[in-house]
Amino acid sequence: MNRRHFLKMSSATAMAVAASTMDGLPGQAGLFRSAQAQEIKSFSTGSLGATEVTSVCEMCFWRCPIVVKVKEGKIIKIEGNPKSPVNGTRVCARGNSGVQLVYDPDRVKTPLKRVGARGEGKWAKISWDEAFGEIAHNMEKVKKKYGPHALAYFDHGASAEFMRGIFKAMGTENYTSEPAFFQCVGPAALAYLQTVGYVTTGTRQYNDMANSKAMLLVASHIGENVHVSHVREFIDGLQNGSKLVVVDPRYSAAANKADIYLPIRPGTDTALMLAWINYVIQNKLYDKEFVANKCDGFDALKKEVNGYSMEWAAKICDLKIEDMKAAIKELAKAAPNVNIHPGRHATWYGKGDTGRHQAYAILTALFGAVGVPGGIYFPTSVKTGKAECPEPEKTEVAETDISIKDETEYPFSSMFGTATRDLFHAMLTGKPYPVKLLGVNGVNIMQTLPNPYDTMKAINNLDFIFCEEMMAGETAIWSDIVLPDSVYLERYDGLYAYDGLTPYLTVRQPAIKPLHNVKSPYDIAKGLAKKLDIEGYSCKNEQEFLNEELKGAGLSLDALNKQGGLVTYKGNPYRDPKSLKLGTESGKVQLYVEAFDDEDLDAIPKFDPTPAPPKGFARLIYGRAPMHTFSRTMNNLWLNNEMPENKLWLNDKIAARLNIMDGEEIIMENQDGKRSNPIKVLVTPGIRPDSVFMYHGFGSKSKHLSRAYGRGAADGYMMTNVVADPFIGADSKRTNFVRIIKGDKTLNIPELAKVPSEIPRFKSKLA
Amino acid sequence: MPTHPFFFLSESFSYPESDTITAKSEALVLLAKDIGFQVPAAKEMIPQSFIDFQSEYVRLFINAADGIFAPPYASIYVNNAGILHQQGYDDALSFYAKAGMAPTESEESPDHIAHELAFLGLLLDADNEDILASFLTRHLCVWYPSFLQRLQDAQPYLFYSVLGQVTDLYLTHLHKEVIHE
Amino acid sequence: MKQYAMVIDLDRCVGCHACAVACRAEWQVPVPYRRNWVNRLGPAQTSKGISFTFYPGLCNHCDEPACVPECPADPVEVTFTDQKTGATKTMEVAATWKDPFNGTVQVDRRRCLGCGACADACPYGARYVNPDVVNEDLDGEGIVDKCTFCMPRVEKGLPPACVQTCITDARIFGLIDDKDIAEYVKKGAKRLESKGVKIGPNVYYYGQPKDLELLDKTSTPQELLASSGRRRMFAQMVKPSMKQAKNIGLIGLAGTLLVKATETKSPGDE
Repeated sequence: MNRRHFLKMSSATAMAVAASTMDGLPGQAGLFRSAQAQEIKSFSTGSLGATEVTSVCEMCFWRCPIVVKVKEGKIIKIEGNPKSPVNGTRVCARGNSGVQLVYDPDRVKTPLKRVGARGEGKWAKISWDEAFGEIAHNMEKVKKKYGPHALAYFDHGASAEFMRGIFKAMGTENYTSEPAFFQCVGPAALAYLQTVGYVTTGTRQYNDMANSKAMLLVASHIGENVHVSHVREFIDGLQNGSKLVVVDPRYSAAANKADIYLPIRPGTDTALMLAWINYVIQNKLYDKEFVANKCDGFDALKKEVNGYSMEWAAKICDLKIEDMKAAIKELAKAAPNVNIHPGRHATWYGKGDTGRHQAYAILTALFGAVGVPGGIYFPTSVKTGKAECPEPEKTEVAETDISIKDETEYPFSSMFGTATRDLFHAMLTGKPYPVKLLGVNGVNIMQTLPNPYDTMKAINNLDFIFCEEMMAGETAIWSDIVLPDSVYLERYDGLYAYDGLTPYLTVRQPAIKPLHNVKSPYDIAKGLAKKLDIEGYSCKNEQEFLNEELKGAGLSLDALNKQGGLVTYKGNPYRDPKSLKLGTESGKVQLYVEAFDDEDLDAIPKFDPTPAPPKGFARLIYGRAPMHTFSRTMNNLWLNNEMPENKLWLNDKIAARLNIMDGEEIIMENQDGKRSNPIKVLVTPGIRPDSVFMYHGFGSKSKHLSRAYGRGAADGYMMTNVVADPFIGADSKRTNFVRIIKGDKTLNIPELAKVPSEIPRFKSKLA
Repeated sequence: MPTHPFFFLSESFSYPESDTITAKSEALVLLAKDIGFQVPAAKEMIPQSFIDFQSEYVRLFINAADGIFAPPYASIYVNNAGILHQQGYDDALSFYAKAGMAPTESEESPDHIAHELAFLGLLLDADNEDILASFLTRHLCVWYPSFLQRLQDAQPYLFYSVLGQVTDLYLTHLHKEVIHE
Repeated sequence: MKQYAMVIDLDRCVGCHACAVACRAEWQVPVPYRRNWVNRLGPAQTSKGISFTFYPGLCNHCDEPACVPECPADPVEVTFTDQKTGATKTMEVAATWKDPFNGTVQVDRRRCLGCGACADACPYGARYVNPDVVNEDLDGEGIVDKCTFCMPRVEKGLPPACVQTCITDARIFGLIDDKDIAEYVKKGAKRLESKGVKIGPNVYYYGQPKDLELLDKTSTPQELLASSGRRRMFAQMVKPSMKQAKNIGLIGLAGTLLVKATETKSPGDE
């Protein structure tokens, strides 16, 4: 080629002007340096021959041990860590898709500053120094103007721990308001804590399904809700001949495997549980020895549940009495090796959620299924050291005359933190004091909370909101500053000690260097602490504190890696019933919870029905899709390809009446007139006529998530009626009702299941 | 003083750190004129404020409320991979290595359009014609049109629309000369 | 002849889609194509109650594959080796064939024209043509791809990627007469076969009768597609003229291939 020829086309004038805009030629030429010229051969396809780094998954919070396969500095594939006693070489669809998360072009790549309106998603790029400076400036300003408690932290997941220290060091009492607790497992955790003296169902769940002879699932859809070790234990149990009873208004994947399936009227589960408890007592199906020696309050329980007959429950629950009897007999026959599974997501109706879980715990105790194979078991803690350096030196909650935790209407919330409901109430109303700055970490603020309309109002009342995020989702577009988080495959985190049946210790470690201009959660917290002059965070890096903590287990990072990145310990899950001593005050199961009575709450659960759908409406229920995590993975190319949108499950008889075909697109309208995105209908006999069902997490309103935007509908946007749980203020999610808009016609849902007079009806202006 | 336009085009596809938009627009107009392409007057390319200009860059090339519009990375387009660090990235790296160059530490992935245009500039400077020919034929000219399409679909500010087109013309022109050798 | 096979136990399967994604990761299968899939079935009424089950599908590596005879690529002589015994067998094969020693159906990506004739012929939809990659020297239109039963992994002693990742161990892989697989077949594992399509698929499904009924009703192909001669002809026409000359002989060669295939059958096979 004649180079001079090409050069003729750009005139000297043009080049001179161009040059004036640049910091000189090396600016761009400096993107390269000279190196040894070499031919790179394209490497073979497949994971064979790749380097392996052991680590821990974070595609959901279950955190399975993994092996990351790397070739030429690129992540090729993720598999389970063969040394792991819980998943071995296996990872679920999401675990397999971590590759897509790292390399997704929609990751937040650099610190961003909002330059448009909140919610608009108009950003400029800023440096880390500027980002830390802006956040520090606003934290100090808000603290000075309103006091330390005006700062609040709202978080989820492994990234969140380091930043929490910043909020603690600032003195606020609002440093933990985890939606994972207050929006999800809270009522269940409280019920078990008070009844059996430990949280059998928090982040971890101590349910020995694999060794059970019978299992009860109440709307828990294990299999569609995928935590690998749970699913394996569930399937192992079934393969070992465990009998399965599933109670669910929807025919779930678990229901398909059930020996007895009870399609219950939504909102009446506690009625069924109380009738069963009464039946077990009346027919002496309980473990007399266990009840006599290890339970308090049996007589009060017996008296309280006496009125709940099977005939009554059959009518309330819309079930066949012979199926109900067959189910409880099957469960009783398996005692004590019976698993009354609490499910995970507990915040259904507000009223009665704690009581429902108390009833599960009571039934568990009546069957003597505590600390025995197949029942609930005890965690085995793994001994490790504690490093001080990843935290600030001083963390004292500032003295305050008015505390959200004192003022709260929910007497048991402060045991766990600041109820989400109280926090957002303070943001909306300024009561009991104004909350004016919110740090959000790893939470989709619009889809985690019911009623996003109120959430938007609350955010607009804030002086400042920032987030730490991997993907620029709905939280990011509402934030003033967005801090880009590293993906779990690019960083270290804390130690992972599993305390289940087969305990183990492992550690997350980076498989590749971080992409773009992102930082690890520890470096982010450390950087912000420096701007705020907060002492502490003295470790140079994550390895330093991991080694210190591993020392307590007689290990180091190197030693751990030499053993395949994971070491296992012997579990101690069971107890001799004779010497069983529980963590309650009396050391026994509390069938009657005095602490509840002290707060004028029911010491023994009662059935207090949640209102039935208004005429023309069906109850909206929801659940997990197995290849998605919350609303986080809908934009993941591979997972999106497996399930790009959700469908509305509509009973086939209702569909026939309304002339709606399978696959047809409709819009939902809720009891307050809120309308959804268009959603396709799945016509099926697998849902009750008084309910509709959808997988959760779809229909993102963030225009940012390109693949996820507008695919399917979001259940959260239909949740404008929220009832608080009176114990901890958890927000109900199953107290909303929808009807159907097809074309320009509003279609009322005909009532095929008659509502008994004991159940009040929800009053809607639209009905 | 640069001897050819690719360093300028490379710089223009990088995040605008300082407000040189007026001079850049003028240079772009001159470059377009040199290659016989009619473009609007430079002053029409200047946005209302510099912050608008920066946020437009973010919207198009970094993160946007409608999903990133025109991710400026080869990997996205080669084989329609849609994500970073795939075949297009490997290809870029192997061309750099073959030419005896390595990308320096940068927060940008080395298959970013700014990198590839700067690489082109360096190849021209070094008279490395063999690699220049195959780099254009087998790599840059393969994916650039898909990127340009995504850019234009985003209805960008005039400056970025013109930048995309002028770059296209210079690439096509150079490619033609290379093939005719 | 040995034959690799797979059993999918729907009683264990929960429909988590890990298999489909692990396959995509292992072999870099681009979206939206697939070698391995999960179709969600129901909940729907069957004669034995409501079923909510899954169709985890992949290439069946059929006894008499409908795809193999459709390939118009110039046959070449290939020597196959038995991984276990070291025995060899030489056959003329086009760009896709059934391995004489392990029964898997394979594709030579370097010789594929991307005409799609094999993909059209597969009643299970197990093949796809990726138009974004081509064999330039053949003037190809794309390259066909499908499940290989992960032979490159199996040869290294590893299970197929889908089997390795299956979270409930619902996929069982091995030779058709291995104990694990034979037991499943004995207790009623079914192939997706119908009157119209009886080509000996080697993926078996086991589960509750209601689930197998729904699977069969929704997922078993009912007829073999007529040989898509049109696409094959077209593929031959677009070959460079030099190769046309060779193509004239193709009919003859194909004839030979058929004869050879018959000849190499040993009495114990079938």
